[in-house]
Amino acid sequence: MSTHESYVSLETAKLLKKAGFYWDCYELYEREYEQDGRTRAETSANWNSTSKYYSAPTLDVAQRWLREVKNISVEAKYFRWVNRYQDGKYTVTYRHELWPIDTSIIPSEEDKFIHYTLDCACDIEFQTYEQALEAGIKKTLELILEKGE
Amino acid sequence: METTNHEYYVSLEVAKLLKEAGFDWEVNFFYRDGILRSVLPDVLFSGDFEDVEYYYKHIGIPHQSLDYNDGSSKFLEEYSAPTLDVAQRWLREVKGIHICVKADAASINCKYFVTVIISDTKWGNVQNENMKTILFNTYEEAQEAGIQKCLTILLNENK
Repeated sequence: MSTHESYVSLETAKLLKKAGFYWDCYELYEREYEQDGRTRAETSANWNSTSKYYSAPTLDVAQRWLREVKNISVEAKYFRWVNRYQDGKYTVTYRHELWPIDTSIIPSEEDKFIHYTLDCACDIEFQTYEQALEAGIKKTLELILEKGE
Repeated sequence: METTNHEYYVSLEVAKLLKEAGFDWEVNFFYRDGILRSVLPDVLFSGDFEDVEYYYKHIGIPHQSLDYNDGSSKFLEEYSAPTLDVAQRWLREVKGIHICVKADAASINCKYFVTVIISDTKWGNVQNENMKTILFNTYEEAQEAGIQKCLTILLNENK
């Protein structure tokens, strides 16, 4: 595997399974040994199809699934600001934003609800792009599950 | 270019620019003779036996990431093919250039995607390169265009 790929955490993998993530992937968490971390399989498969495993896609595949299947765009945004308390040096942080992508002309009430709810989600700052993206994915999944989709 | 794993890899053109710009991270996919290939077992065993033989003989273990840009290959025209996200990450972590792909809130129901490029270095021309006037039909098209633009400017500045 490439050492530069970032994968979803166990917690996010569980939320993905609950939300119906079904795409094939190489990495997985074994339910019985879930605290031991991820395992890499020889072939890609839908590990969520059995109760023994949780599929562990890369963050960008989870992000793509939310975009293509659930019509929500999770975005990690870059912020640079001058920290007056540290010699005026630049500090870089990331925040996430979530946008509903609606294929119909008029957004449904549900999408309006999600959009309204998601507006509140971008205030937290993260040190890295990956942290912001994972938090955004997790927040989206929680909203989807809350809505009972 | 999309594979069966829902991963999108850089195009050959971008893979060439990445090599020129010094991309040296290990990856699972690469271009040879203009064709996207992989060392992942289920991709390997799908029928490219020349690759199977070559990689077993020279590396021993298929399923291993390699730096295909390091010049050690017997094939001259070989280029690492990272996923779009890994290429984006390399630009962020190694070159200090941030590519943000956004759903275009101004278009009806966020139908299109746009790219914003920000540099946290003194990289003059790309200090805040906004591609908001170009609308892309997919996230991946916007992402690849952003990566290509960054690499083109970076290479031009180094000339």
